[in-house]
Amino acid sequence: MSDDDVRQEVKAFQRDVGALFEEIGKVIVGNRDVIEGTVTCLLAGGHALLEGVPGLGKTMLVRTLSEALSLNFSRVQFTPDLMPADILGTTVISESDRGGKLFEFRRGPIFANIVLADEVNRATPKTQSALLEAMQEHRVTVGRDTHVLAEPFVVLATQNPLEMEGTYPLPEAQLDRFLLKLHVPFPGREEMHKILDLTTKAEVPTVKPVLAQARILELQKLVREVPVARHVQDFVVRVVQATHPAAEAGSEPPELTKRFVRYGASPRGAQSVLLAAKIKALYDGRFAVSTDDVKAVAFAALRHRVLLNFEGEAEGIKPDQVIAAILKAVPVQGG
Amino acid sequence: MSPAFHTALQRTDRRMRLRATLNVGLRALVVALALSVVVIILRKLYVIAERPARILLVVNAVGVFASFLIPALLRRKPLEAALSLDKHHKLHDRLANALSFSDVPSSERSGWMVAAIADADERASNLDPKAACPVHAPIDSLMAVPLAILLAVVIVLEIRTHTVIAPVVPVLNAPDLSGDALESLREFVKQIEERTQDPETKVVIEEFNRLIEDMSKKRLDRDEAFKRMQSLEERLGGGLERNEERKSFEETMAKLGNELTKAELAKPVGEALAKKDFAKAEQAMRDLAKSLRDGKNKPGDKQKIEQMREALKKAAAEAKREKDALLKKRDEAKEDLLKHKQKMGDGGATEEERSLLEKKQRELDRLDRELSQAQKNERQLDRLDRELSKAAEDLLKDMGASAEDLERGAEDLNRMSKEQMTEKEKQDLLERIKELREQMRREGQSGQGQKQRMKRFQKKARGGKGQQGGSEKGQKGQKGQEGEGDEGEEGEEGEGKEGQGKDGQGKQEGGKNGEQWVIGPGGKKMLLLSRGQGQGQGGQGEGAPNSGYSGNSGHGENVAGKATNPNLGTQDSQLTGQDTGEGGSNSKMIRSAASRGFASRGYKNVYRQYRTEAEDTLKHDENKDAIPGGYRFYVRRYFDLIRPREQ
Repeated sequence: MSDDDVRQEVKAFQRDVGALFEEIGKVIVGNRDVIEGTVTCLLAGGHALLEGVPGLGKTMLVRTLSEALSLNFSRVQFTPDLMPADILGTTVISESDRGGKLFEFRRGPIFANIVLADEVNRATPKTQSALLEAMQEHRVTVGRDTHVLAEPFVVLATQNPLEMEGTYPLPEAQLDRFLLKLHVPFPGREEMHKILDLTTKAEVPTVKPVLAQARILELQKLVREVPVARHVQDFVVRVVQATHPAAEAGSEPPELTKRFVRYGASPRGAQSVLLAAKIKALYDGRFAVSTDDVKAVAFAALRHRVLLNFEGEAEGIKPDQVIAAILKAVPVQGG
Repeated sequence: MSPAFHTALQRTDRRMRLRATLNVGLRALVVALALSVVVIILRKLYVIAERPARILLVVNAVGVFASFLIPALLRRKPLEAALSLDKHHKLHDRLANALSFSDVPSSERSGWMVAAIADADERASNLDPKAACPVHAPIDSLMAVPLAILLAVVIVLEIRTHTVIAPVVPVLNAPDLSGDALESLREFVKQIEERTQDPETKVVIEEFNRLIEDMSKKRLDRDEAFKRMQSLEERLGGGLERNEERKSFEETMAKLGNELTKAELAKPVGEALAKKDFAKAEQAMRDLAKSLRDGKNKPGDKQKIEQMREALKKAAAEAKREKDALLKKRDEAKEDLLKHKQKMGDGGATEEERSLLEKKQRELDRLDRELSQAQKNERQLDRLDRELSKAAEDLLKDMGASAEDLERGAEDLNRMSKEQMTEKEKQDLLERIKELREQMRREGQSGQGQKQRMKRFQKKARGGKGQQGGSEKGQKGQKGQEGEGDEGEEGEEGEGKEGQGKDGQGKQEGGKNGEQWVIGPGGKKMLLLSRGQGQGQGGQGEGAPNSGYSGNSGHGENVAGKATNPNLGTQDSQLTGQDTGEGGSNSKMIRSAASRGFASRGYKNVYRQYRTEAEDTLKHDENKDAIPGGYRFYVRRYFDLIRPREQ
């Protein structure tokens, strides 16, 4: 691909993604970062965990996104009595055309391009773990049969930080499978006005599909072609190393990490940061990733991977504080 | 990459090096100036020696030089300049990425990389290295100016040290004469005193007596004693000169005696004078006068008297001739000296000429003295001659009158003799004073490091660390004087006596040195440095080795001061502690409680009770008022976290 082609591709990317944002913006007011994060997960082939109090439009965002993408969408309301089969699907006895009986696998809601796992932390760990294989390997194994999920496959999970009764915190292994953890903030005054204007009128805004499945796959491929300079990649590595309280070779974690962090981010975390940074660079129409991109996506990509120790939780330390300290402490080295 | 890109990178690199040079160098300069100020102050206060101070200053200077030089020469990676430009122009690492991708071989470069490089090139023309890397001195380098001024001030200013010098303790270095020597001197002076009739000699003897008494009572310093002895010597006159005068007088009298021997009548007188026995001569002359008064001599003896007159005239003429010869010789010498001086004044004087001139001057002085003595002799002889001549004339006229004349002559002879006797006594006294002086000088030289002892003592008296004596106390009686206030007087009375009686004498007799306080010249209290008397019992004298001065060790009895008055007014005040927020964190408190347990019960018991209580609340709290639903999870997890660990 020549540089002219690259320029064309980047422009097309910006145009398509811009159209997507515009469509989503018809329904979702504000929350640009959350929307960008969600789309980032889609383009990176990863999954997003949206955390916010009820009523902030998490489900609406996911639904709107699916509508704007003309992809298969399914929604699963996670409850404590939800069983893995309710998500993955189950084998049932059915009658054939000839009148015979046969076992037939009936696909669950996981078999969709975009899966909304609403209030994911309400399901039992057993059910939550049913998502593990699907999220990481994009396939489902039921009995002896393995079913490959259609691409793109994105799980967009939501969880409510307040309602903890009857919830099961997500295990670290599952948390690590989310590319980004996005905080859905409470809207500001202007945004509230817009939300009210949009949702209390007789006219309901409609969203039309702007990106086809094939184009999304192309974009996913394009994202991975974005080059990363050595110094940027080195910065990512050192940031991820600094999330570990025990100093790795050549890294010096800040004091906050040493005191309050139990476990740091895994290499999967570094992958998430870099992929998200690539998409961030493309959003801006650049041809390579910058350290600014890394800094911009580091919070969303690492906050669910930095696990605080007891002291950190007792002191009320937030992972974002630790990440901010790391980004401040780790310099960009020129080579 | 475009030339503009490269140029911008190079300019930025230079500016970064310059900025680093200023940053590091000026800060190092500030630190070096501060250190230099400290070093110089320490040096001026004599805290550190000259050499370390110089080394530190040189190290400072080298450090500053290196701090300027190293950053200036240190090569930086171009990526740093690119990042700096990116940051300033908000290019999101476009330049840094392009630079990084340009290192990739062309064949391996992807279209993305080429596009990234081209993107950077497009923006290179608008780059501003000056704005991206502003060069200015760090704000804290402004401290260099006041520090430099301070350094200059410190260098210029001389810090004077206020040293409290202890008052010099007057030390009496008294001559140390033995009791026998002093007694011998007293005996000698007594004899001289009885013998002499001369008032001047008596005054000198009285003065010498006082000198002896002062020395015996240790009221005199050695120097003062020497001065007084010198004064006495001066009053007694030059010994040599007096001796010469006496010899000259005796010679004159002997010549007179020889002449008188030729006259039969005055033969006994002449023989006595020839033998320089003035007392016998006097007696002989009195006998002659008596015999004349008694009329034993006949008128035929007039011839004999005439012979005596002739003899006297001859003696007088002889004395006059000698005097004239001396006068002539002296005039010649004086004239010669004047000529010599004139000659030297005209053409300058060599060393040899000056020496000759001094010799001639001394010769002239000697002749002057001899002439003066000869004139004196002549006068005395004239007087005697007149008396005897008158006696002879009276004898020729009337025998009775001549006896009185001879009596007067005998009186004159006696007076002259006595006069010369006084000179002899003075001479004896002078000799004795010289002996005494020599004795004191030898005693001073043989003293064991007398001067060193004095120096050592004065050093101690000024607060220096004295050499701790072996064991001799020397003098203990100074407690009161060195102490403070009223208590001091008490100490002087008590222990002072003990010091003089016991240590001062008893131990010094063991042949060792010691010090004691005495009333010195002018009534001042002075410390007497003395040596033992050498009467120790073999090697077991009580005196232990040297120098145990303890003058500064005294103190009053009430060293702790007055007791505190319990009736003094006091005021109670209550203080309330303030929470500064600097105590242990919540987690520390929880953790320490979890690890150590509580005071009276084991942690497991406490935990069990609390956990049960919490579970009961969670289970039976139907209205969910006590624990909101959202927090129930945290309550359970909290108890999970703080559960007792199995050992």
